[in-house]
Amino acid sequence: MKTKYEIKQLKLTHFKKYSKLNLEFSSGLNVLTGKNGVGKTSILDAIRLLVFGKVYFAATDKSCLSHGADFLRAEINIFDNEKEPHNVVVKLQHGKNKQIEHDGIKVSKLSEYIGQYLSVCVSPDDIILVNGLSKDRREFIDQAIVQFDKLYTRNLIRYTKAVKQRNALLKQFLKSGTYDKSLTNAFEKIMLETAPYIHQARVSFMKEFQSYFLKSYHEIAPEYESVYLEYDSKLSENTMEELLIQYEQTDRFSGRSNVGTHKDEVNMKLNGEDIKVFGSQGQIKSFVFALKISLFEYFANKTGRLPVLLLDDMFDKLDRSRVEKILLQLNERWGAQVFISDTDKNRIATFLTGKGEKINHIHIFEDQSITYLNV
Amino acid sequence: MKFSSTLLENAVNAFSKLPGVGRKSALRMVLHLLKDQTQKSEKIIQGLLDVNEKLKTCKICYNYSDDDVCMICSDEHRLKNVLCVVESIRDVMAIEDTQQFSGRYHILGGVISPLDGVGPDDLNIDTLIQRVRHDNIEEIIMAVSPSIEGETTTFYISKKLKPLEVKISLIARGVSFGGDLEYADELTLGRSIVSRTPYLQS
Repeated sequence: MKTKYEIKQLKLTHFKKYSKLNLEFSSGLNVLTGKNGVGKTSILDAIRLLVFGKVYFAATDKSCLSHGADFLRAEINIFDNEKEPHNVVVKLQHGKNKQIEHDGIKVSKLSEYIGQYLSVCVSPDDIILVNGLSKDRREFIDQAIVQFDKLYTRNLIRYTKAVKQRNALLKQFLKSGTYDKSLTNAFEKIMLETAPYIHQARVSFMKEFQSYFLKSYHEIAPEYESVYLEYDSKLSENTMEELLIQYEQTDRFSGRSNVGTHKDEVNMKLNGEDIKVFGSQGQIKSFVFALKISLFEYFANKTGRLPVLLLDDMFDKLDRSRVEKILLQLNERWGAQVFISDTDKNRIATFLTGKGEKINHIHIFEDQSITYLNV
Repeated sequence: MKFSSTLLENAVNAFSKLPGVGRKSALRMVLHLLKDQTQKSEKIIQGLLDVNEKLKTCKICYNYSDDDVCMICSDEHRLKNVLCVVESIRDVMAIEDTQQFSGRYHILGGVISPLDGVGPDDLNIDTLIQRVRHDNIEEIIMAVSPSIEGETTTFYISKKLKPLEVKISLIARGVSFGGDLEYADELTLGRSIVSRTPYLQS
């Protein structure tokens, strides 16, 4: 039996368009409908902020402050197997650090909080996983692993800081025409300590994740196509130490760090070719959706805990019958709590009628008032 | 905040520029000093003027000092061959308060952080090496903060000191006194397990 987390109540103050909002959710499917721009995605983002500590759909946490407001507050109650719910509060104020309280205790570091609850976000913008930069693909892997491996989070933070400092240093050396190896070595020492763990964790993740991904892809796109994720890292052939020696001169004369786990890439293949170049729009959409859905299943099996699934505007982007099929499967297989936004108020009702599913349908009007249209 | 007097307003503005002091606290302080009959204001002003004019930096350890050499460096009872390397003057005061250290100090004035434009030349590292070279130092205790920058600084200094064959130690990191184990963060607890110390039976 997997531990299931159930978000029961959400309270928002000065969050995007909502000066004040209280919502009740059900343990299964929660559907948010309303016209474009009424604030459906904001609600999904508030949930993500509370369970992950950071927003996903908006650019930054700060951008979620209502226009003209000087603070925002978001709160949820989450039930697990225990009687008493957990409580999470996030407060954000201009000029101050974000503050998270978990069961009344202040979280001192975000990295300590991440992983407390699991979540998977699906957004139409996820297409950047294929079309975007390698940074976006690394972020996908990182955001997955940090949710179940605290040691990974710590190594990643240390590694990233060390690379930033080393880059600043190399830039200064380049500008001043000087070079002090014992100083670059000092930052490299931290890279040497952390890179092997990061690399190893990514290798194991990609290996385990692959089979989940293949399964999801074929459920979403049943026509026969072979897909593959290929983790591409220089550290697979050489140690970090060897690489730093190899790249010493390159780094010195370019003024930045050209090698390491911050240059890893994930190659996404369809029928043996790069999907970015050879995939159709439909194939790419299915590919990206499969990445996210398989992450849900991966989390559930890996950790024994069910993630919260947040889907933004999926019906518009993917073939409807396929999305419906997947959601029903997730619901049946896991009893997952799912939040989904849709611009069409009636579509969702027809989708689940007669399927015996109870859904919590929340409709948002243009003045941000809400009504429950439960079927 | 509306003032009946610009003089009062100026005084409050000046106080509220201090760290940790808002306008309300500033007003409270100024009103307190106004009411006071014991010449507190004069003492504060004189104290600050003296500090500004006469306070020196110890030419050995870089602590604040009345004379060219501070009271710690000139104390003959303190060990001469052990140096504790810290970032700032506040760290010296914290360690002094423990009454557990009887050596002398060396204040770096910060840690290496290229992102903030701080390099080894901006810190008192050269003089530290000179002290180790000429003053018969046998051990240096690195007591900088456990951040990336702190670690890097320690590593850099240890490299520079390597030819001098001085013993370098790090202050221990671990579970705090009076703290519950279950509330200690994993990193600290993990480290205390790895670098455990032998139990001495007395």
